[in-house]
Amino acid sequence: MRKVIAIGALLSAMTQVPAHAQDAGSLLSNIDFSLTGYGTAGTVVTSTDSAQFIRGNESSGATKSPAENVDSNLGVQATARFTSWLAATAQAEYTKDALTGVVPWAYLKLDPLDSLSLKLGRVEMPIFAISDSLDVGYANVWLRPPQEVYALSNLKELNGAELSYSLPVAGTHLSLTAYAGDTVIWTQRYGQMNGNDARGGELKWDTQWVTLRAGYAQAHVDGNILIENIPVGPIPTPLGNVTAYVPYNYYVEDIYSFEGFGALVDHDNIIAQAEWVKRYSQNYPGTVNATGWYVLGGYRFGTLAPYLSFAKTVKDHADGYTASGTLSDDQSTAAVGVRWDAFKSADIKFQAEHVNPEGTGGVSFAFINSPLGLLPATPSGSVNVFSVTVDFIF
Amino acid sequence: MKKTLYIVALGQLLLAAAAHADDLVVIGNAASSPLTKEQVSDLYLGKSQGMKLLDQPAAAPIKAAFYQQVSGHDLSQVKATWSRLIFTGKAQPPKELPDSAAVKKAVAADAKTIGYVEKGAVDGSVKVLLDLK
Repeated sequence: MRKVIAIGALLSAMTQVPAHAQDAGSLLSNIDFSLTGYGTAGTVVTSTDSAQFIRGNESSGATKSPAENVDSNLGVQATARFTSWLAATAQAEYTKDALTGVVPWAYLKLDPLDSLSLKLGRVEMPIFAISDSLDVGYANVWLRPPQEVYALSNLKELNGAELSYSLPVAGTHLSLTAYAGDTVIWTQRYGQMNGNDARGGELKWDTQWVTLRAGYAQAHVDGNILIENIPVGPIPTPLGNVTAYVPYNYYVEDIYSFEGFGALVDHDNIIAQAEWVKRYSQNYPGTVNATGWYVLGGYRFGTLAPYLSFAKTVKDHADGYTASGTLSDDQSTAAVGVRWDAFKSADIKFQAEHVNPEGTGGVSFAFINSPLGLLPATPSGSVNVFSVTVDFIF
Repeated sequence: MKKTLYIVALGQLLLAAAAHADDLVVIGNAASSPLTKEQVSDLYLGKSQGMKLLDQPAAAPIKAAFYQQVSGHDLSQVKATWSRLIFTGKAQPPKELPDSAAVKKAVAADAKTIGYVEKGAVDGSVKVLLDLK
């Protein structure tokens, strides 16, 4: 929030600069201001009560009782374009899990050349092929990104700078993005940690109908985290023997890194997407290291776009892996869904999934509170998940 | 499903008919250089920047015909594509003007601007940068 205010102050300062030359009124009237928004309203129900199905880092989700929080969100964005080379964008997003709302974007964008842009402020790191519009349901074919890939990253918003250069190559576009700054790492298992000195880059090649990309990101992570509550006892008391739990906090320091490759195809009525990603830790490979991939294929019949997808994540079970301590575990999901562009600025989506956590806590299930602290919930067998959403933009 | 296909086919026929009835052209300022179909598609789908884009109202048949001819995308696809670009601040969407006359007027006034109109609407105030036959 402080940053947003700072940007606001900076903006008002910038609008003041040429004001002394002429009147501020005519300058302000030249600002192209737009207010837009997006949202998703949805509900999810599963075939089990043994674990709650979630998206990303949500703390609660769906069981046999439907849950609306899994996919629902609401975002509002304000953009002010001052000149052809200077614009400011701020976006606020509300989800049920983020109590105070989040600010995915709040930046000043400078375009000194048509092919070069610099963003200063808060931006979403391009970790995946579809990192930037991940929360905008209307922008995507799927109802929900495959969690086997998209739930692996703990790097999201960056407070810093992002430089993008785009180069036309024989009718296609090659673009290179580099960024650096600070971030906050949020894991469901261990809560919040600092992510300093975050940096990364993306190389992207865009043709008329195919996009290929490769990305890399890393951050220096540190924080004092609760590993678990250690049982002490039994301690004899007048009320009988009791077990006490002593929090075992531990200072961790690490280098997290993330690499990914992706291909997106949109040609005539054919939609195809595939990504492969890997999450690494320098000091805690058994807790962090994991690989994920998915393939998705779809076809547009007018306003209907049915699709099929398969996704898999494999946790690195070597080097200090413990089922209770890991950030995520093994899982695969086969999904079938349809996007129906039923309205002018809204779609309806339906998705059915068969999620197999392979006897582990997987990636799509909320950790549960126990006297020992947060522990993975292990569903009893495979879980079928049914979701319906309405995505809209305004 | 068969019914949907018929409707889609009918829709495409109608679009084709509409396009034939009045061919479209991409217009620019007298100082602008000609553009290829790929360049126009890249600009109007936000893949490249550098021009101020003008659009027609969503309800105007010319809009659907233009995007279909240039990119093969229907309007809901175009809208989804732009929602991706808008909500990341990557690009500014084309500015919607009420009709072809307004597009022509804006193009004539600004060298960085392009738009599309019916071929029959072209006059000396603008230059044809691409003829979509």
